[in-house]
Amino acid sequence: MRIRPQTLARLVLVPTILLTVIGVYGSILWTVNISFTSSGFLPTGKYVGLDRYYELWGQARWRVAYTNLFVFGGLYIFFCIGAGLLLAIALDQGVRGRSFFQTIFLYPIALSFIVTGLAWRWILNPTTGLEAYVRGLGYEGFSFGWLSDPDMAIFTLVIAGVWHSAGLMMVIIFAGLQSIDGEIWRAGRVDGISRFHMYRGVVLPMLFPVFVTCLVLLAMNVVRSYDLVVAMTGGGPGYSTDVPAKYIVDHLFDRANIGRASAGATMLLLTVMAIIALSTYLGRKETRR
Amino acid sequence: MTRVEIDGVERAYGAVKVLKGIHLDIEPGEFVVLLGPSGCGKSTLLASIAGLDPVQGGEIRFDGRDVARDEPSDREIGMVFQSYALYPTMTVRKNMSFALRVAGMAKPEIDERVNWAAGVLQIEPLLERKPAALSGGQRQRVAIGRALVRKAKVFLFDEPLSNLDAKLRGEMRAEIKALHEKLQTTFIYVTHDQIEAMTLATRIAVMSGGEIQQFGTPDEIYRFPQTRFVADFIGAPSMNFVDAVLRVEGGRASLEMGQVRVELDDYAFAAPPRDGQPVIFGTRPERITLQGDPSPGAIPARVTGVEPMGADTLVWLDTDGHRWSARVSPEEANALGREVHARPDPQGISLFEPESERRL
Ligand SMILES: Nc1ncnc2c1ncn2[C@@H]1O[C@H](COP(=O)(O)OP(=O)(O)OP(=O)(O)O)[C@@H](O)[C@H]1O
Ligand SMILES: [Mg+2]
Repeated sequence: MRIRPQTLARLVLVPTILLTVIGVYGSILWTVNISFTSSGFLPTGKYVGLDRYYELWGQARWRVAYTNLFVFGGLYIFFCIGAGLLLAIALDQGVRGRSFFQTIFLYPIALSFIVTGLAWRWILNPTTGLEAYVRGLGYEGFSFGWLSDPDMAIFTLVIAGVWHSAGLMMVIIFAGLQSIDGEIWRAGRVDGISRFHMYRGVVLPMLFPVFVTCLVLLAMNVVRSYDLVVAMTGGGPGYSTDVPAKYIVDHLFDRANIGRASAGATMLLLTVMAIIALSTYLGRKETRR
Repeated sequence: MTRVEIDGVERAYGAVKVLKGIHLDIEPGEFVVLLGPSGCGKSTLLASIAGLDPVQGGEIRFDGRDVARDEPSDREIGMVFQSYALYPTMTVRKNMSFALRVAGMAKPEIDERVNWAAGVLQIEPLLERKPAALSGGQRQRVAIGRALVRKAKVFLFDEPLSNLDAKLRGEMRAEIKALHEKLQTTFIYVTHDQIEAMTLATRIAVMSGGEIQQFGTPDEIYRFPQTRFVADFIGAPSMNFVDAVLRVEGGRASLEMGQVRVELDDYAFAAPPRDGQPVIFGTRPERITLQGDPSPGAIPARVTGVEPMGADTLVWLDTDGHRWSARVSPEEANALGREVHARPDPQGISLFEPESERRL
């Protein structure tokens, strides 16, 4: 009997499919299942319905963490793409020493978020970093205490995150700008259209798929933002810079409350799914228009 | 209707001179075709007229006004590019109106111009589509429309038809010609397709190596090429050449090629001919008749190939080491043996000076 190529292909794929189904979707289902139980240290609890979710949302720490997801995520994505776009346009306009700037701005992406977080913790630490330096220059009244201010600490995370990722956005957007046919620019010049209007009306709309790529890359960083927070603020002061990922890990391992951790994880999953559904819908509408 | 004068325009990339002092005087409402082999500087010259490439010397005058240092948008030109260069995220209507909207024109006026241009080009049903949903010919029309709405005084085309298939190219060629007749604006058109140049142009400028070789009507270019390059470049297959010597006896000029003598009674010499002067003799394939028997003024040749083309037949010849071609009727071609005699028509002769390769 001869094996048809298609059959063979399917056979080869079986281990991968099994691994994905069990490892990814199995784990998701298992987590969702646990979130309906009273499990503590071990996944052994009784079913308690939606109790874990009521508990979760009743807790100020989770609400702060969940809000921070959007505050940090929104600002981080906005400023990364904004800074990346401006830098890319500057390069595209032919700044001198293009490759030099490209290397400088791309460098942070080579560092992990842990290193980024530690570095910025030192930079923003009043006694070792920026504040001490500026005071050393003679400006005694200077103070920059965002890191220890519960209202402002979340923004220090944004600063460090943008510093880390904006260079990558610059490179991706710059590659997109370079791929625009030169004749389009020439046509714009003949038409008497200013560079500003060319970017706004023609070039940036052409780069829509590039921006979607950037958005997806950054959104993934936001959802799994754990290392940066741990290294930089440890979630503090208090729990003012907590994020869902950190909340979940803390409850899983330190607080022996896998029930509530699972409820948090499920909420995070639902949020991500909602955002993906929304963006797919908007993307479809955009391409159909 | 704008007169375009190009006066000593120079352009170099580093040490490489791409335009070596171009002079062209284009009458108002003319359709001028820049024709030449790849890399001869046609696009560079067109971009200089448009103002997209800076020139390093010379003047470009539109109706007497020097525009050589003006921005493209200040020159009141419209340009159609080889890749069409439409704005891909905008509909056809927005593509055509974008420049007017940015310039802050009133909406009724914009609509009027777009509708007028769409009517001229017959693209009204396409106005709400995006470029990706258009065929090559339709995109080309939109690109022309974008120039039309701006009421350009000079239209520039850079190989606009080279991305189209042969049939569509023929149709668009006719349409561009009709458009020119309708608008009566000055058109400058770059191509390396001879047929396009011959059919469209009121005058052709043949370029080579950054210089204008000849500027004249299609008929002049074809019948009286001023340089050997033009003679060779225009026409397919190209002109047949052979080295010869001039004889002047008793006021009558003739040509000596080995044993053969060709009388030159009707030839209009640019300068008086000298006896014994070496020349390059040239004649077009359709100006040759083939006969079996030798006769005075016929060059002995061997047939090396026959290519029937339908309306006529191309016969390839070997004349003492030179590869010639002759265009004859299919009946004549059938009657030929291997050894023939090629008799050039005295009316269709071109003579060139071997050193300068200029017409005598
Ligand atoms: N940016 C550049 N740098 C250096 N040389 C260039 C540049 N652009 C064009 N050239 C040279 O200038 C010459 C003329 O180029 P141009 O594009 O005008 O040719 P063309 O006649 O339009 O040819 P084609 O029919 O292939 O389009 C070419 O030899 C080309 O190599
Ligand atoms: Mg060209």
